Amino acid sequence: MGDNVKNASARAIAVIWTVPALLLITLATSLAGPHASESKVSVELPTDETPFPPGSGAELTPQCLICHSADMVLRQPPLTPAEWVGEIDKMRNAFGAPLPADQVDELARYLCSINGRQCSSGG
Amino acid sequence: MKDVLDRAGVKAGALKARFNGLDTGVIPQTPDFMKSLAIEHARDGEVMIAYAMNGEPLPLLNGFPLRLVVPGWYATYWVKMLSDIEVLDAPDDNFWTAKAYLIPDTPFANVTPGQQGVKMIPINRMPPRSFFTNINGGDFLHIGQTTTVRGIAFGGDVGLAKVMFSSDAGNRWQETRLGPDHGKYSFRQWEVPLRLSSPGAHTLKIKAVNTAGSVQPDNPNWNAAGFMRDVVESVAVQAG
Repeated sequence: MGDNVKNASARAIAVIWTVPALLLITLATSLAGPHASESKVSVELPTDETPFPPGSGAELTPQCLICHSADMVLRQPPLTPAEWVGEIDKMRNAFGAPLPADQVDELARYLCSINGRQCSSGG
Repeated sequence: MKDVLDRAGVKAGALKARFNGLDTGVIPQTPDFMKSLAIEHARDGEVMIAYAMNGEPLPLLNGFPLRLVVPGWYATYWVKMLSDIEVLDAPDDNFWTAKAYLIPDTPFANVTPGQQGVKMIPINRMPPRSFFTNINGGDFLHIGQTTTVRGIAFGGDVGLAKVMFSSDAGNRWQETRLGPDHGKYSFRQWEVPLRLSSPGAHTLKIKAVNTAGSVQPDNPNWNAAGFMRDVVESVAVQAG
């Protein structure tokens, strides 16, 4: 039983020290830079090449691309202008998208024109 | 996780454990991604800090060097690049817990479109699900020949009890043969022999049942964010 307790506490200590040890190793290798002997891993991140379609208001879309792809917008269900305003306001209020309030309606009209419904009725 | 929290010492009055990772938004206005669990859940001995997968360090895209693993719960809790654990004595009011990833507090998180006044709660346990893996919609099967239909299933927050198959759009169901059990939170393979006897369109369906008796619903659930889809999967094939 004594061994079990010792083993259990040894395991607990090992676990506890593994966390900071791994973080330290990570920090150390990143601080040491390219001269340290380290194994390198290369990761190819998925790319998204789909552009926003041209159209009136498309010049506002770089604000969207700060955080997400055009594809993410194009894969949403078709929304009315009012629903697009709701989405844009969520991006501005919850996530801090730097789009001025007086450009929201213009962007909503553009988004409706590329992926919308009831675009002429105003939603 | 329990070992780390016990080692640090959790005081009376602790309510939540909140987890933060090294990832951040592109602009500082974006809320830092954090998730929290009830302190009892975080200390249940199953929630873990993963530093390896299949005996190797975690790949970068899987959250190197440390990732939270919350068995049976949706992946939004599986914080990648885990760097910080806070114990809170009050509910977590951060955006990603209090405002994002909320579901209606109803069976299957199901409401009618436009329904108002529904209590919303953080998404949590996964329901059972099952999938076809070797049959696609529109596949052609020969009458009188036996095809082995295969797929995978999981039980969600508990183990998988059984996986039921229907070759007549859900009128009659038969139990499939399950592959090795790698543990209650793991995917499990299923397979069933199928021999169609009449030409034309057939709808195959697959339905998982977990050890708590939860069954995949025959009709899709609905909520505004599209969370917790767990409807019985269907695939339409042609026979001739």
